[in-house]
Amino acid sequence: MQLSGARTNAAERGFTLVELLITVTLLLGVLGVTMDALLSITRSEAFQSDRNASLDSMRITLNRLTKELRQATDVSTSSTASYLDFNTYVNGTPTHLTYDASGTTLTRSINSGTATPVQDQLATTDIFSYEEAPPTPGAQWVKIVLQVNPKNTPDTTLVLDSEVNLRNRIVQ
Amino acid sequence: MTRRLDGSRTGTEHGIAMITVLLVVFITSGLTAIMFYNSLHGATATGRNRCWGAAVHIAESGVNDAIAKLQNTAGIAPTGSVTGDTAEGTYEFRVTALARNRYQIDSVGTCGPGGSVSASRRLRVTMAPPRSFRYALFSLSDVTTKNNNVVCGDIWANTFVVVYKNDEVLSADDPGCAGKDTAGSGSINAATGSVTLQNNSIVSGDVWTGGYDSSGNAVSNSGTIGGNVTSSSSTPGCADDPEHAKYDVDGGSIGGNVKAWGNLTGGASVAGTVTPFVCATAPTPRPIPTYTFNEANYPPGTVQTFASPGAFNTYLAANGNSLSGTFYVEGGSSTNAIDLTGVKIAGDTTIVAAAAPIDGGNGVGAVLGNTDDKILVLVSYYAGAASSCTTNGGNPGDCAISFKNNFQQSDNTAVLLYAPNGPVGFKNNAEFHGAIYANNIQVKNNMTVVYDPTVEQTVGFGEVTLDITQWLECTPGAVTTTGC
Repeated sequence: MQLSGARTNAAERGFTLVELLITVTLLLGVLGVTMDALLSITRSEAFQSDRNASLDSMRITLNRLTKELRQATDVSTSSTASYLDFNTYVNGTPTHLTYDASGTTLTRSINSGTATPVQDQLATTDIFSYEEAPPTPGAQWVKIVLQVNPKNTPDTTLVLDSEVNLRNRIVQ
Repeated sequence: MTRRLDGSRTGTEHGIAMITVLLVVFITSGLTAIMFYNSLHGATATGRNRCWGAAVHIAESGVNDAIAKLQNTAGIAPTGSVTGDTAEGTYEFRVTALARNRYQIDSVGTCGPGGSVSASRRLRVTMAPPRSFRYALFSLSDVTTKNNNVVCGDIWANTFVVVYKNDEVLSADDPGCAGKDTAGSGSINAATGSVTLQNNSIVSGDVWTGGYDSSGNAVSNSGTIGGNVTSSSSTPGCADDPEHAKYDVDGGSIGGNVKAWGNLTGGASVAGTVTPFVCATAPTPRPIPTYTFNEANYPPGTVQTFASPGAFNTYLAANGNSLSGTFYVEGGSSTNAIDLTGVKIAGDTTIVAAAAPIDGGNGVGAVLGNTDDKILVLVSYYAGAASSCTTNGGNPGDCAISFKNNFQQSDNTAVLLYAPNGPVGFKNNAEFHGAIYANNIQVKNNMTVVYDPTVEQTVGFGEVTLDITQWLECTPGAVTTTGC
């Protein structure tokens, strides 16, 4: 039996329901996989970008710290794990510097001036440790461990460390 | 029965697949580009960071190369800039010879092939004689000041220190030392002995002791101490006095804190906190800086050697009214001394007496009108008896180096007196600028002893001839001897 108006041209024939269901299912599957991959790639890219930004900031901070500490003449006895107070040279000029880690921010102050943030997202404020060169009292080496949680991935902690020998320290 | 596609498409369906493919390709390409960028950025940042760290070590290689060249040429600086390379990069340095055996080394280290990964850093290192003299008075045994003396600077004695009545030991920023271009905190260290301050004496800085006097006092104070007082035992763990019978801090006024192995006695007035019966670390006795006579340390043609004090005294009689240079004098005895009476200093002068005492008699002065900065270094290895120097104080042969009556240089002449085997005595109404390092020191009668940092780094003294005394990192740029 033939329905009225049935197409006689083969090119005009449609799809069966089964064909459509299979096609849609397959397409949904492919789309799901593709979207998942895209989302994964997007998340990965965001993570990588965030990580790079944090690492860049950490490297700049650590490089500046090591450069300034290497030229230091003395480290104050008031320095702690989260507070560093020292006299050094900046471009050949005697300068008093302090670094203070509080909360999630590390700040830097020149000659007792305004504290400027130099690193945020700190994972811990315990950054500095000190080592003497007996029998001379006082710090001869300063170890810096910078730990940062990138903004969008707080469960990740990036760690950069360095140990600096004070080159201009005057031994009394 | 199912129908099958015949693969043919109508004209309206053309391009949908292409658009879809292009869209996917576009998105994928974008993500891939971002991933590549991140990866490239990470690699570049890591590379540059590595180069940044390496560049300073490369520049230091240049500094070390410069030091090696100075050693090989006995201090003759290479001409112009010198280049070299390491496995990490290249360096360029320039050496500038400064006055009084100082050298400035400017070195630039460059790492990397160029572009964003490369890094360049510039160092300026100053080589100079090591820092050997930081005290106004340093004695291998004791230091005694008598009768209205003022010391601007610090005192170190390996045994005890006595500050007689009305004497003052002041810091550089004390009004009593104002305008004297001095340094120090006005402190006294008695490594294994006590410190005695007689009536109206003043010590503006800290007092640190490692022993006690015949009364059992670590500090016998009839005067005023402005800083902290630490009384400790030079015996490890303070094991020599477990009952705290000694090491007391007795009497006087103390502006800072007191920490003592003994107790606070004699009605001492303390502005700060008092911590008795605590075993603090005692000062460790220090050796006197070594001196090595080496002609190469002095300007060519300025060194003369004399076979005896007599020969040198003859030279002084003819040339002593305008003396400069380096003089090494052999021989000598208690009755055969170098006599500097009336000598006038015209420039940097070093006199080394291998065995003779040096006597200033009635003073050594500067050439009239000569305002140049000058250093006078007197070295004597004569071993006189401290008791004779104390009793007679300044007669030839009593002391290794003795001066009395108007031994007053102009303020622009710094004097270093160095006598590792014998006492140094000087007295009577003069202002002395410099430092005294001796086996024993006697200061008497209205003397003002002002520590002059000019003598801190004096050639020939110390374990090495030259030491790195300043290490600076300047703004990156080409090798230059000016501007940091």
